[in-house]
Amino acid sequence: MFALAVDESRCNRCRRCEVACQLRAERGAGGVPRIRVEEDGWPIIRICRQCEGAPCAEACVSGAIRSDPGRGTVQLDPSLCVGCWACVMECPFAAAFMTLLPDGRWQAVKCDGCSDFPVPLCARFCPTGALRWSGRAEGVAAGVRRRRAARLGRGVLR
Amino acid sequence: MRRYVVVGNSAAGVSAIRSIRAYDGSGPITLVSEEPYPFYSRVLLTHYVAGRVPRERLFLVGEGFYRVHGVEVLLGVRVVGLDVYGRRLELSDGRVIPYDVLLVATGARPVLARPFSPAREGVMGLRFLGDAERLRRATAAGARVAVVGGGPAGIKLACALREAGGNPTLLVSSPHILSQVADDEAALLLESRLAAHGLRVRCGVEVREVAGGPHGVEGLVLSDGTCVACDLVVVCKGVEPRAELLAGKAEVRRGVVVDDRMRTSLPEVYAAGDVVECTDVAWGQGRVGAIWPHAVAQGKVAGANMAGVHLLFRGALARNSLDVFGLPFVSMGVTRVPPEPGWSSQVLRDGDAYLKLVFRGGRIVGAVLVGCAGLAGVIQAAIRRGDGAWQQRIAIAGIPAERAREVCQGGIPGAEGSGG
Repeated sequence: MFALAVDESRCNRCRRCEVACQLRAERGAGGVPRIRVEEDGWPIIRICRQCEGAPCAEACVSGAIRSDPGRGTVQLDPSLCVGCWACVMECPFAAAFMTLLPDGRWQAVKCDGCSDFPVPLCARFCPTGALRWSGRAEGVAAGVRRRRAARLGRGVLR
Repeated sequence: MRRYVVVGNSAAGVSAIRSIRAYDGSGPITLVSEEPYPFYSRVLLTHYVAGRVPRERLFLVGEGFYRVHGVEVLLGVRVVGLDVYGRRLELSDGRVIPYDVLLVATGARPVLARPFSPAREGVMGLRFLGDAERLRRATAAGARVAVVGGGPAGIKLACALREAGGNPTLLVSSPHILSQVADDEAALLLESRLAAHGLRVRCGVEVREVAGGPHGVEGLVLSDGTCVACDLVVVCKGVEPRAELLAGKAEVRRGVVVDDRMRTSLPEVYAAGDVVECTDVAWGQGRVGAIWPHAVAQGKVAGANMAGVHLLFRGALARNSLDVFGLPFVSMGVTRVPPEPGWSSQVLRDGDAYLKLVFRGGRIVGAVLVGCAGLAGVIQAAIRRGDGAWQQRIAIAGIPAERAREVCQGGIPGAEGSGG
């Protein structure tokens, strides 16, 4: 089960996670990195929390974003995206990104949980524990996710 | 064992079916729908008209979905009567079906008021797949189209027709487009983008009369005395809930009134989606918020409660997102500051990027974002949460002017494909 714990208070803004994600993107996962660390004073690390009952998936009008209950992740199929910005409008973590395609259309991109690696690369390269992979301790991670979500937007995971 | 009946096969109805099955694996579910197709996305219809999305991709589930979820599907049938005490529905084909729990997810229909009523050839709304197919056939045959209404739906459609190679005219009765969901500054930015792409927009004109015979439209007579020649008029002046089934039985104001568990005032009758009205967190009053995410979330809540699981709707929030020829636009909550004490707003501008936050008594209650919509979700969370800490963080303090555009855009600077 996917279980990435995010603890912003530990983040030192080294941005290794961004670099790792960018490298993976360049090596075939496509496009741009799906995590972003803004400067000091920013309360969140912009990465998908793979919410249960994800608001982005509920808002997606084209079926591009769907929950994958088996893996506990939320997956986006870019070929179905129509670039309507609805997912961006819903994500309380600002973790749905839009990229402008050469033909002038927008397309959504989000973290897919690094299904091609045993541990998501951002967590693997995070030196401070701001991003922690706890694949086994899923109950804890789910609790952390839920508390954080509750702090950000009431009822996000409900 | 409970017998579930769901009336309506769109976002709310299908979401409810999923939710019912998540909690009740065996109770029989019957789905009644007027339209003869499986669940499709109404929001994609404009994309279909634009030629961006092929017809088969409108359908969000296949017929297998209903089989897997154990749903008996009655398509092409209308519900003509509801017996609340006998818990029965009467269908247009004469059948009578019993229920233990009922969901009314009958949606909404386009408002066709004077001079567009009564219905006539050449005047239509865009709501159903059949409408979109008609519109595509007409435009393929070279019909000149006038789109009436400057809301998100009208703009989306006009852009779609333009993209499909047409030359539509967008007629707006307000002085600016998006008068219900944005402010004038944002509207001006979007209007210039529309103009740059050769879309004809005429603001501040009412349609006085539809000219033409019984077999078609020849043009529209406008309030300023001018005429617009056209063969087809698509009216995008909002939608009204289709609440006839419950009218006179349950409490219905503009829409069916529901509580935060999607219960109507009738026992074991639920309602969800565009047919309902519920309290908007920003406005603090009941509104019909006919948008897709509400329908999905409300369907889910209704389904759970129908199956006996206590689940609450997190509250409606009026919101819209739009891509106007590459310029993103998002608005939510209250977008114009009323001239009353206690209200204020903050605005940040940088070229085509425009960000406005609206506050009431120190609480953020609305936002307009043009060209820099990447933070819209964070702002929505702040509106829903309604406390001070978040508000200050996003209140531009966290977004210095020179970075606003880049941060809000959502793209990653320097990375290929980002920017715009």
